[in-house]
Amino acid sequence: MFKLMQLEIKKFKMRKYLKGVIIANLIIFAVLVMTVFATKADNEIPFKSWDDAFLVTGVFVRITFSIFAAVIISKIIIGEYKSKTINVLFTYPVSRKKIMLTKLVLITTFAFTSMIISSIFLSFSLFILNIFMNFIEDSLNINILLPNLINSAVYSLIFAFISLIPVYVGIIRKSGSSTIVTAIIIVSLLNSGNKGDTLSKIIIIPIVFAIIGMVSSYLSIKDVEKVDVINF
Amino acid sequence: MNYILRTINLSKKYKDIDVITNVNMNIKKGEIYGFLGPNGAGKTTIMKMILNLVKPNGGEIEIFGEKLNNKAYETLKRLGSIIEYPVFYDNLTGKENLELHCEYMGYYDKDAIDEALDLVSLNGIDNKQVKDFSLGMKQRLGIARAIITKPELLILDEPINGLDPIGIKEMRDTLKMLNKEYNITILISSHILGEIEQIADTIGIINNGRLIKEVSMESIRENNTEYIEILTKDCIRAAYILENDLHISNFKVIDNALVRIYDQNLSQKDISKALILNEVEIEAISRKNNTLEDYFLNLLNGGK
Repeated sequence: MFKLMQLEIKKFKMRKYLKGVIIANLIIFAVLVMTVFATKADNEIPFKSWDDAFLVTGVFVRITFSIFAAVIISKIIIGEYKSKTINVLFTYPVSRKKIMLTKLVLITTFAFTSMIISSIFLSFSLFILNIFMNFIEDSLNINILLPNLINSAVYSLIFAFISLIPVYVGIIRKSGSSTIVTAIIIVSLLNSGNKGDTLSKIIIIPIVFAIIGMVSSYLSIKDVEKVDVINF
Repeated sequence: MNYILRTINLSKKYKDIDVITNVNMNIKKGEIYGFLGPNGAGKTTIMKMILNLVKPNGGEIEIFGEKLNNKAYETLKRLGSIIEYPVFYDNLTGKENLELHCEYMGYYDKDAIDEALDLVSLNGIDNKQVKDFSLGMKQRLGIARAIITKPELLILDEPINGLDPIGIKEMRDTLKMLNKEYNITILISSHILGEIEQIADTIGIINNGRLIKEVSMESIRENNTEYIEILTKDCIRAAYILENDLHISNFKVIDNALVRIYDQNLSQKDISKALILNEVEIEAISRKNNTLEDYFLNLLNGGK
């Protein structure tokens, strides 16, 4: 499995996505800084508390990287069918199910690690920024930090699996753009709301979505050995 | 007889339309099997079924003496193939593509890549991405990829498409060499007769999803070599004379205007003499070569 993952990374030059992750982080950070400046100029409070700050960064990060994951799905799963390289890949003496499973694991791993690392990076950046601008008055102590870190780890994990829902849609519709649109619809559904009151705050809802992601993506690769390989 | 691949009543339907119907193919170990048929006859579908990419609706495939099933991964290790046109990971270089192929195949011979590239005369492509390749170069790279692991059975779907005449000649020599030196059995499809004729030991002719004929090139050459063609208005009388006076039975009357005599024992002179003496008017008489093309067209038309 690890070997297959390495081959996938090599094949799609996935190291270049590292650069994408960094750029995405910088953009999110820029947006947060602008929010801080803009609200300060209006004499409003950007974040009521550290909890609030973590919540907002979390939403930004999960939206961004769920869509990022969908882009990777459309490249490494849908793209193989589109470019017919799947016809070559499936003539190798390797279990097709294993190959597809590797891709799913790769996508989930990417989504999870990019979400959690970005969450930590952005929170840390806000902390540094706060030293100079002092827009959050509470001090950040371990009692605030720890639950928030655990919270973002749990949500990253859940959203990593939610990122798999577009796999199913993409394979059914045989289209890369459907894959990305599905991801956009799902994240907007879960993360839109007023003043931080979003659907994903009710933890059971994202968990259900995560299970749907797991099951649907498994269903879409379950019969890969038994059915005709159809090019999109 | 030692067969490397057999299909038994192989059938395939797409949405209730028969694409392949009861195909019984027999490929002997060590031969070059030419798969001949017009576009859309079902050649690619059969090849995809052999590679497990498409699943048959009926019948079975026996390969290396074993029945092909969904988990026949060890079988795939012994195959090399190009299906339709050669596809690659376009953002990688040719060499990277071959390395990737070897990794997936579980084949770790460092020199094999360069050897294969030499065989298809693809040199100096080191830093070029496949997306910048011409069709001919992709075709060569595809063949290099197919032969790199020295498979026992090589499946090539229209491998000469996009090659220039020199490339075609080189390809033919390479395939013959692989067949002779490494004892690789080759299944090669084409709709270009001349090509198949020059390399195949056996040809299978397919049309509308049915294998019309499977025949060795040797017997085609034996049966359809030269003949004498007579153009005459009085075919019935000519036929009568041929049969009774010259005692030839191996001839054919075509369209009531042509008589073809396949018997090799009689010279053109004797025949024309006999016919003229019996007052049959001869408009033209000539010795002709029956090519595979005639044979092929005959079969295809006869199959309708």
